[in-house]
Amino acid sequence: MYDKPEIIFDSDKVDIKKIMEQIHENMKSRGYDIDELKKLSRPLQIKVTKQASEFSAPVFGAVAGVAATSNIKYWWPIPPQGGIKGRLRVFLNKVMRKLTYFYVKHVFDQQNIFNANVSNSLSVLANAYSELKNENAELLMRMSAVSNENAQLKGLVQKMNLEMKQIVDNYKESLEAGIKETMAEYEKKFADLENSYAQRQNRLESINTAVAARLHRVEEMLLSKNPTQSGDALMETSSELSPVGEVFDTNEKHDFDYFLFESKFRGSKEEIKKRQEHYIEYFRGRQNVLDIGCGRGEFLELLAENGIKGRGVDILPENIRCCKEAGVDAVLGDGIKYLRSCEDNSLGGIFCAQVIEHISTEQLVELVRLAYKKLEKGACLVLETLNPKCLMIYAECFYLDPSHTKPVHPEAVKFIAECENFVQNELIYMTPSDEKVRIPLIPQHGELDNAINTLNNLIYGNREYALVARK
Amino acid sequence: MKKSRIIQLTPCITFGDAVSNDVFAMADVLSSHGFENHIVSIGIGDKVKDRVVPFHKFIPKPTDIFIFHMSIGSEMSRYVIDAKVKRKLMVYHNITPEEFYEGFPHVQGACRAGREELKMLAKHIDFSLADSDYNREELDELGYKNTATLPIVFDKSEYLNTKPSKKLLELYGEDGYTNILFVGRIAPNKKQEDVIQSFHLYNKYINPKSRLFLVGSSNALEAYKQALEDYISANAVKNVYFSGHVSFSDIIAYYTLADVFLCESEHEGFCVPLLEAMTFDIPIIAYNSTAIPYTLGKGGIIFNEKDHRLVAELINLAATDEDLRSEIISKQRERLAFFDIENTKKTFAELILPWLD
Repeated sequence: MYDKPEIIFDSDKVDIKKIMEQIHENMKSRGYDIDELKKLSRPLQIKVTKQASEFSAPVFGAVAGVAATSNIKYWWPIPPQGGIKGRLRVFLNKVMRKLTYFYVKHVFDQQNIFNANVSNSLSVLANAYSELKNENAELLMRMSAVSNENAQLKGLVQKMNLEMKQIVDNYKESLEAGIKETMAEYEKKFADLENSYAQRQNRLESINTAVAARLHRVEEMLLSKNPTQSGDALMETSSELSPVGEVFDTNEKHDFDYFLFESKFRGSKEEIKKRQEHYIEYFRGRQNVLDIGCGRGEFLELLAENGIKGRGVDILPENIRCCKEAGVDAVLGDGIKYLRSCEDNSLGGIFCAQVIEHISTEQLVELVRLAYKKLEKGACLVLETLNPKCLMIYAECFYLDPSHTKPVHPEAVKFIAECENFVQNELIYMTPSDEKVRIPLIPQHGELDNAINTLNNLIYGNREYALVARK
Repeated sequence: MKKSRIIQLTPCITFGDAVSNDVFAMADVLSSHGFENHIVSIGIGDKVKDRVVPFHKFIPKPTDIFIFHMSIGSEMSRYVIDAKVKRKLMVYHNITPEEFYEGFPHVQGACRAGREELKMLAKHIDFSLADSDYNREELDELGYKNTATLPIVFDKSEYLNTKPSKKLLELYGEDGYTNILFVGRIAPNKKQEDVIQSFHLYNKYINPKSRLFLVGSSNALEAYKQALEDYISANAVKNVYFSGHVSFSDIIAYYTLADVFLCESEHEGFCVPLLEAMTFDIPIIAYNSTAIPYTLGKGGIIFNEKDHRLVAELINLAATDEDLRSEIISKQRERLAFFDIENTKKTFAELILPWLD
């Protein structure tokens, strides 16, 4: 049979067997009291009652204290004392105890009954207290579990909130991206449409021009076959202006359709009227104003609107037809020839816009000379033309019109007027270029800015000017 | 990839007890490896409240890794079972069997609950560390997968760097008495009555100039202490001193004064005081039970039967036989080296790191 060793100690240096032998020898010699060994081996007596659980121990201790002291002894012990005096004191005390015993017994009996009641009550209360305490402990545990669950729920809610936010954000992002994409698509389509619309508009205008040109030629052909409708029929006489016989020869042929050209590039009648409005002040209070090169009669209309009697003269039969349709007085013919035919000192003013760039210097000098002769004293000659001091006009408009012969410098025309005896000669500059096209200045670069200003004025200056010469 | 948070959960934490020391040491190791880690507990001691998150305020994340320190029944076990986290690890410090606490319903209930919870946890824990082989065997029997033994973290330098209480040394030192020591909570499983009995025979029949120090608090188990005192007076046992709750420098003083360390405990998950005795070169005599043979290894004398006369003789020999005494101490020193704190921390890191990815 396997014999379990009494002790375990693994050592090469110490002989365990020898030690054990010594131990057993010693054990025999100690003289142990067998009864004592038996008593010592008794299991430990742990006095734990349900009430005396650790939580309520102090309360039960206090209650036990009350119970232990509740019974008052009225036959109290008198310890013996030494010496004659001591023995005498003990004797006297015992006599006193005997004498008072009957009196205090009754009182103490009642007191003891009360004490017992108090002690019992406390015991009942302590038990109730203990139960409450246990319940409380259990409740605390449950509360801790609930608060734990609550914390977990809070965590869950937080997590859900985060996830929801993520979903909303993702949705918002994709929605925004979608909208952006669609918008870009529509913008592109719209730009394409605009482009194609502009192209169509352009084509339509070209078609319009071509149709109008053909129509014009057809009209001319018809007119040439039917002389009663010719340009001569448009020539009229006026008692005041009496230009008969000396008007422009209308049978001159033009390969270039100037009326059509002007209709396209000159601008609408309303625009022209607006641009010319400011000239009215030079003719206010006058009569018999002559508009040389009156076009569609825009200035004649302005004169009429201001109660000034005027007449126009123009080289193009279409223009004269327009004037007739607008109800203003105009005749077909060459302006200089017409002027020659006018009576001296008879005209209240001469207006001549966008004409002098079409004629030669000789014609210009003659025009000015004749004007001086025909105007009444104090009346004005207004000559409006493109301003050659603004270089932009060459790029944009001067060479656009093939019938322009040469630009006229303002100082030159002023000089001519002065030579022809006009007294007050004023140059008015108009139609400034758009500010936006001007070269921007570079702040704090004085010299460079001056140069830029000079360049700006040279290129983007006033596009038109007018000479107002008074007789 | 971002590292998971490591959450150490323990039902109770305070300053200085074995499980709490273990938790803090593990926290240090985790931090040194760059892990964000937190300690969560229900019962938190004042001295450590800055380092611990109260259980009711803790919000887990699904990426968390739990390290649950199991030592007693509590609502935390159920919580760990239900928690939806990445991984659940456990450190098992053992639970005292309930039969030791007959008559102490509140402790008994917690022990019983702990055992039940330990069974339930088995399915849910991915990896467990046990303080001792004894604890590990328990886990294996309950069907825990992936178990390993990791000694409790023990820092002997803390003991050697603390000065002993002068008052105690003056009271009991250098007076020719042989001082027998047992350190541990005054608790039924520690069987202090057996220590008293062995000491009584030694004191009465072999060496009357001897004392027994029973160091440890009896908090919540006053009735057991009362029973021990009754036993002492009923059997006219002399020279037994209960320390009550003591300061750390008092503990050091008791170890400084002791000649023999006597342990007759019948249930230990590890028994840190054995390492403390080794630190102070006190020969150990201990009863063969639970984790004690693991902790002692080849250090100290283990006895298999509680024959108190035999134990009294062993005390006598350990106190007087210089050859035996020095042999025991040298074996104890060897064993203590095994529990070197750096060793333990390194082993912890090696064992735990593969589970923390």
